[in-house]
Amino acid sequence: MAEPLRVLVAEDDPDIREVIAFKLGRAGFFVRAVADGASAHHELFHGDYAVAVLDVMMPGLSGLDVLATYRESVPQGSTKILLLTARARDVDVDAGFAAGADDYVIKPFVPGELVHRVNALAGRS
Amino acid sequence: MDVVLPHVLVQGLLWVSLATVAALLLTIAVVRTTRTLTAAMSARVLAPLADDLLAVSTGEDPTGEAAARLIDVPRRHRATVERAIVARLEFLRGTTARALTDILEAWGVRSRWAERCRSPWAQRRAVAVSDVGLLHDEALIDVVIPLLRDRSRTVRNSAVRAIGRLQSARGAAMVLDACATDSRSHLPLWVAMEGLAFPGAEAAVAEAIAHPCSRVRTAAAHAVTLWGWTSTATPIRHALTLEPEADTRVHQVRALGVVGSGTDIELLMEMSSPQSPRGVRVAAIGALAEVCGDPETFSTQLTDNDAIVSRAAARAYGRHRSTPGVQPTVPAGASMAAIQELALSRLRAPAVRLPLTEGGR
Repeated sequence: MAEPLRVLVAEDDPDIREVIAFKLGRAGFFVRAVADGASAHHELFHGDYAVAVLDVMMPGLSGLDVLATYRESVPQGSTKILLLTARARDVDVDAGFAAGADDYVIKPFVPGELVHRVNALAGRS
Repeated sequence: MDVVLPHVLVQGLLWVSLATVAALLLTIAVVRTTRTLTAAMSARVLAPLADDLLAVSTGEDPTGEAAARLIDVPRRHRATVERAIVARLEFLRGTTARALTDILEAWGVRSRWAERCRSPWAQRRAVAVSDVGLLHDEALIDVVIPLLRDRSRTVRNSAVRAIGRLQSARGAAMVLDACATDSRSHLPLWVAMEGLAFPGAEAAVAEAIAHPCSRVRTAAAHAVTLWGWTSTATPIRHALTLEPEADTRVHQVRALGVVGSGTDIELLMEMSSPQSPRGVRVAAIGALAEVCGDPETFSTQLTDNDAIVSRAAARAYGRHRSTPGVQPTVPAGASMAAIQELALSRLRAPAVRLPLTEGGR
């Protein structure tokens, strides 16, 4: 049986983190959940993740900071990055895509929709 | 003349200070202990319900058994579970949010929260109106609207957020009205935006662009800038030509930069001319950078004597310099401030390594 695809979830709110991790776990992913940008940064560089779900607003390193550093340092990195943001503003979405995001989801969100987006990024049907 | 405090008075002050510090420490200790005990009690109540709460929150309760178990929670534990559900409703929407609100509705929170919106305590009103918004039922808008004029700023802010969550067009119009300077305790613009952040607010915003109060017109223009509703381009354009207030014109110009097009270049050039106030000029240069692809548009402003204006022009010019195929040049007579800004923008964007050729210096 094939290894489940690995997904990194970085979100400082424990309730949101729990919901996302649970839902992605039920969808068959191996999920590693972390609570801050520094941990997300470490995991992205040291773990082999198919997809990373990064909250934009995190204490210390923001999701955008982690994304930008990863894309700059590992331009050939294959991890797809989905940003989770509470700010439904075009400029934030633009900033995310400019920094190399592959997709974004705006809070409040539907967990099922998030799984569809992660599936699409991971190349799963 | 030296004043020597009597020994007794000094001693008295010392005792008062010590007593104050002791009272403060005691209060902190009591608050922390209460908070720890409350958290421990909540954790104890929620632990056996965690799986059910998670199943309902993620749409993994197809049979509705988990929701039924949550509905059957003993009455004494409902307040704790209610707060846990409310915390999840802050970030969930759609069917999962509906499943959670169904649990709350089964407990009769609707009438209880509506009643609390009339509480004499401001904090209670603020929490209640925020909770009402999470029910996502526009029928509750009449409970929320009166609180836009509440004497407490916290309550007013919560009411705006609730209107944004209820996505009520009528509520959006009321939020804009509450920005008017003649209203009691008018809303700050940044607060008002939370009540206008949904597509249904577009019509109310379009109408408010021509409101008699300049502050409402400013709020409407700011909302257009944030949410980019293109249907508002014509009223914004029209209002800009008539606007007497410079501050409002700044926001209208920014809005036109977001929803305008190439046909607005002439109007924006006019707004960027020295006849306009500095703030309007800077905003117009920024807007031109959005609607116009030609870097030469900013050649006049790059030579402007006002350093702030020429810096804004340099920033706009620098953006277009990075456009592939556009040959960068600094026009003759560009101000020193503009040249400095261009050099800075080059440093800020190390990926763009186009040579900076000087035309006049």
